[in-house]
Formats: sequence, structure tokens, C-alpha cells
Amino acid sequence: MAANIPVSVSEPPGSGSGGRGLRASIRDFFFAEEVPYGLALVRIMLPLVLLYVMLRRWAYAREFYSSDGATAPLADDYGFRNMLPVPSGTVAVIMVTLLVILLVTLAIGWRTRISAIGCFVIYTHLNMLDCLSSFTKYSVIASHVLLLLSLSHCGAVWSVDAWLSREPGQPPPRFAAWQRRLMQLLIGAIYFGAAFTKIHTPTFFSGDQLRFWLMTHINHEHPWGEYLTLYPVVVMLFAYLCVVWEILFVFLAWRGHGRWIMLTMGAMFHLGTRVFIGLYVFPFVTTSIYWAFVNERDVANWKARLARFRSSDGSKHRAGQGISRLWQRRVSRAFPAMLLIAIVLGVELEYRLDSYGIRRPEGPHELVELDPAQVEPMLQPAGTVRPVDLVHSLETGTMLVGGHVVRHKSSFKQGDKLFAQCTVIPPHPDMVIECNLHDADDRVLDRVNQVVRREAFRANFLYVLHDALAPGEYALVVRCFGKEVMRRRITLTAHSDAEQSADELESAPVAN
Amino acid sequence: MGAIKRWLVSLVIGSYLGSLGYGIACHALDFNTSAHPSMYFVVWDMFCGWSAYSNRLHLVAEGESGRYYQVAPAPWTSFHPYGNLPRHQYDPFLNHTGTVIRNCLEKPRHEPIQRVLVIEEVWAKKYNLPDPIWSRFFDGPRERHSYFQVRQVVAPDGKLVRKFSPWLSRQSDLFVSVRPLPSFLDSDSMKLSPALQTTTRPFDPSAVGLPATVERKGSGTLFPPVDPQPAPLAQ
Repeated sequence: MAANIPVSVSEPPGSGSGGRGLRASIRDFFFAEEVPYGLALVRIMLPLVLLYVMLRRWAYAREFYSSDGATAPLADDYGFRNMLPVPSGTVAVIMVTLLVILLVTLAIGWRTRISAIGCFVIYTHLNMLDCLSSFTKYSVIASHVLLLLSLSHCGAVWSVDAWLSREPGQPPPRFAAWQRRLMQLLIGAIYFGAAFTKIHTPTFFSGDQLRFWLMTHINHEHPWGEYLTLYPVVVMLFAYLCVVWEILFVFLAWRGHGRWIMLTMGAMFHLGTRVFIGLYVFPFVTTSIYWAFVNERDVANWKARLARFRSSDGSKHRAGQGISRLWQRRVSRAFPAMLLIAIVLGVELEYRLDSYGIRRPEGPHELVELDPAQVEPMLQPAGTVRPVDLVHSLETGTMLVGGHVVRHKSSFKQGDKLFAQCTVIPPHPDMVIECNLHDADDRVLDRVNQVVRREAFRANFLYVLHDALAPGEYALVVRCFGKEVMRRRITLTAHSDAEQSADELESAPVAN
Repeated sequence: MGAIKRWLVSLVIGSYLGSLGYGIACHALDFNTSAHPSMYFVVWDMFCGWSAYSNRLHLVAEGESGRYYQVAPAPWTSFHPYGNLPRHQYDPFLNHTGTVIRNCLEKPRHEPIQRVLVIEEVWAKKYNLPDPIWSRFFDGPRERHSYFQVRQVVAPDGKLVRKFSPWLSRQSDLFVSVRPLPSFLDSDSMKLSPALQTTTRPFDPSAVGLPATVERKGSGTLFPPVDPQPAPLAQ
């Protein structure tokens, strides 16, 4: 198709309008011909990721995607009941088996177009039937990319199809780049939209939201994320950096240094979501689409580098490769036969696995009985929120940056300023929080309080630890609704150039 | 032929970019984002919600004998889609609990079930911190406390009988008003079996928000009151 489209290929796509009209630039951007290496790489990488996703769910096909299970159609959440047909149990197993096989054939590029269309239709349909454990934003992104792959010539290179159809020594075919361009723009749009989400979200830029994400345990384990909660200013900087990168991506990720900087930042960002939030599949899905940014010139450079390591004998051997017409036909005809065999085996295997355990020799499973002592607290009235659950933390340090305490310390010198920051947990009522200074014998030396309105996140208390306080052990005690909710020990040491006897000190500490 | 194909391709490009742009515009202007399931494909609102509390769902079936059973995760499954949590935990709006309950009660053996309670457990996220980090924030011991709230009462066939607000929403309401907005169904108007109706408390709009006591009579089971807790007083 693309061969019939009259386009100018005198300049590489995106190399600048150089005084030409906008229309010509757009035409070059979308219709310049290229060998679809980038799309081929996406075609190879994305199905492998989705293969992992779907293989995990294959044994649960009956439960997640069929009328013999517990489907959770996305459309129901939007008020569109019965929007998509729900298959029977066996049909669901067939669909998932077919999807698994088609993902493999798409990755290796065997009957690529059919495989891509099949993957797009089945994957999207099944996912929309299960918004609890299958359908997420990475599924949506994958569906977009599968759609674009099904419209493209991604099997023209580095595929079984190419191996079967191309004569030895024949140059790879060239096609218009529009599918790859749409894939690139999709990534840019995703980041741009995600930036809007963050801009809309209250307390994102204060780092509070990110900090609570880091403590959330609904994804995989992420111990580094929990560790990062100790550094809220770093979290806040990440928040700004993330939004700036997300907005700039679609403008800078096209060529030159901007491309590599944006893509490297993207890879680091997604690695960060793996390390700090515990997302496993999402980073692999998005970074597998980054291959759409690989162009012909990149591949030429890689080939040149690889050629240094390749022996001349090997090159000759590859140049002589070919396949007879007879085998081309045989391999092509094997495709439907292979699908059929896979489906039959899949249905049989699923039947034998007996996912619900209905045909077990010992009979169906039994419901697990719960201890009444375990259930009774669940049925009692929740009661009011404990004051201790209204206060998240008490941090002490010597400096405030971006509203957060930094330079955390528990040991201070006379004359130091001590910032005590009490972070509260929303939702909370308007309340008074005390942050009192106690001595080692738990006597109250100073009592300060602050009204914390319902929309506030923090209460800051400044103590100037001047000479009125003798060196020794102290405690900052937070009280809320008349109860002590938190306590932190601090140590006060003598000022290095003014060590004086504690008996000589008379004046009181000052808190603001 | 070439020109027609080119126009078709241009149409595809325009439509595709138009739909992406429409999604971003709707998202930016907060307009029509929930109008249709297809909007989920063009609105990029990853991690748009957050809370300072962790929550978990407990699906508890109450048998006719008064015994309680765990409905989900079902006895045959150990699938965890995105981490260490079973599937039913990823239903924040409880739109699919009825289907999950019906499926989990259909397959295994059990005594006749009277009703299923969907109970929400909530606790402050600070208790999720591992010990080394906890000790950096707090001097005292960790005393995690969970708050429970019945979110739904569901019939064994998956039919929703009663519905209550999330614990967090109720707390937000209670912090500003002792009379939270009514948010539950009128169970009297629903076509329920007499046996099931006896397990539900009649809907009384005049009593909404007033303290109530735990009912232990009638069905002989614990049934949580609508909202017994008063709003904490602000100092």
C-alpha cells in the first residue's frame, strides 16, 4: 500500500521543514518510507510481556472471562450493562489459548497480520470482561499498540514471514512510517495526559500523595519505596521532575539529544515505578513500546557495530540462506493446523486441571469456616478514629524545605533551632495539636499548641533551644484530643564554645 | 487507487489523533470522562486517587447455623493479579462483589447461606512501614488498629440487599456533620424473600445519622448499626 503513496524521501523524517510548508512536513512525518525496524522490535517485545501476563491467567480463564465464572466487565462500571458478550467457559478457554498462541506467533512474526489482529481483538475483549484482575492502564496501552501493529507491516523484517517470503540478497521492503508515528504520539499523549492527572491531584506537588503511595501495599513489594518516605523533599523533587518530563516528552523525544534524554528519563521513570511502587508489568509494557523510536539509521549503526564482530565466513553463510517454495507453502499451511491443535490441547488440559475442583475424587472444595472471634470485631461499630490515627508522624530537624523538615536530627546543641513537624492524616477534623517539651523525668517544661484546620497536612513547631535548657535527655510529646499520641526523644548537648553549668541557666525555652 | 488509500490513511491518522486529543481535553477539563467505557482508552488518569489509609475487603458468608465462612478468595484459587492480594481486593467501588460472591458460593460445598457481608477493613498507612523505618519515625511501639465497616449485605445469589458508604467517606462526613448523607437502599421496596427481609433492618429515613444500637434479636446475629459513632469534637 505504502509503495503507492507519493512521498518525498529525500530527507529523513522529522529532519526539519527547512523552509518547506507545514503540509509537506506533516506528509514527510507520516508518509516518508522506511524499513519498519522499530515496529518489528515492538512486535517482538510487547507480545513477550503480554505472554507472561496471559499465561498467568490461562488457568483462570473460566473464572475471569466466562459466564461460568465471575466476570467483572468494565462497561458495568460505566453503567453499560451487557455491552460485550460474555463467552461460555469452554469458549473462554479457547479464546485465552488462542491469544497465547497468537502472541507467540506475533512475536516471531508468523502470519503476522492475522496474529496481530487476533491478539488485538481477543486481548481487548477479554480484558474488558475482567476489570478486577486483567484490565488496567497497561492493558489499554497494549491494546492501542496491538491495534497499530495490526495496521502495520511490522512483520516485514525480522520475522518468519520475512524469512519465508524474501529472496536471498533482496533488500528489506519499505513502507510509510505512519503507524510508528502514531505509536510515538500515543506515548507522548499518555505522558501528557498523565501530567494533567498529576496537576489536577491535590497535594501531588507537596509530595504528600507520592509519600502515601510509597506506603501503599496493593502492588508488589517495594521496600525501596518505603525507605524513600524518609526523604520527603526528594519525593517532592521527583514529583516536579516527573511532570516536567511528562509534558516535555511529546515535544522533545523525536531526534537528537532530546530523544535519548527523554527516553532515558522514561526508562528511569518506569524503573522507578518498579522499584518504588512495585509495578511489575506496566514498566515492561511501556518500555517495550519505546522501541518505536528506533529508526532505520539506528539499525544501520548497530549493524555496522555488529559487523566488526562478525566473521566474513558467517556473512557468506547467511547470504546463501534460502528456503524452497515447497517449504514456504508447508510452513504457511501449518499455521491453522497448529492453532487447531493448540485449541484442542488447551481445552483438554483445562478440563483435566479442573480449576474449580468440582471433579476431584474427594468432591468439591468446602468453604473455609472463620473463627467467630475473628468475625465479631468486624461487625462491631467502627467507633471514632483514635487520636493516634490522626497523626502520621513527628519529625525533628533543623531546617524546613518545601514545607518539609530536612536535616533530621535527634541530637541538638544548645542554641540550635529545632523544627518539630507533626504530619496529620487526612481526613481529620479541625483540631488542636500540642507539641510539648518534657524533661527526662517527664515534667512538662513548655507547652505549645496550634490549631490544625481540616484541610491542613502539617503543624510546624519551632523551638529555640537556647541556654535555658541544661544538656540532657528531653522528649517532644504530641497530644491530640487530650491524649498523648506520639513522643520523640531528643538529646541536648552543651554548646561547644559556651559550656556552662546547668545551674546557672534560668530562662525558659521559647517555642513558636 | 493510491490517492484513495492515502485519504483513508489520513482519515485513520486524523481519527486516531483526534480521539487521543479528545481524551486529553476531556481529562484536562474534567468533562465526559465517565461518559462511556471507551473513555477509559483515551483518558490517562493513572494514580489519580489516593488515601492515607489502607483498606481490605472481607467477604464473609453467614450460614443458617450462625457460622461464618470466608467467601473470597475462593478455596480453589490462589491467584494474585498484581501483588500479594487476591482478585476481589481490586474492586474499590464494589461493583462486582455480587458476581464474585455468587460464583464463590456456587462451586464449593457449604451449608445454606443466609447472607454475605462485605466488610471493609481500614487502617492508617503509617502502620505499613517496616520496622527499621518505623523506628526512624516513631519512638513508641506499633499498635495497629483496624476499623471495620460493613459496606454491603448481599444475598447468596449475589443480589445486593443493603449498601453503606465507605468508612473513609463517612469519616469525612462525620468530621463536618453529625448527620451524614443517607446512602443506602430502601430494602423494603426490593423484592426480597421473607427470610432475607428478616435479616435486614427496615429503612428509616428519619433515623439516618442517629446513634443506633447493635441488634441481636430477630435473626439472632450481629448486625452493625447504621452509624453509631458521633462526630469527634473539635477543640
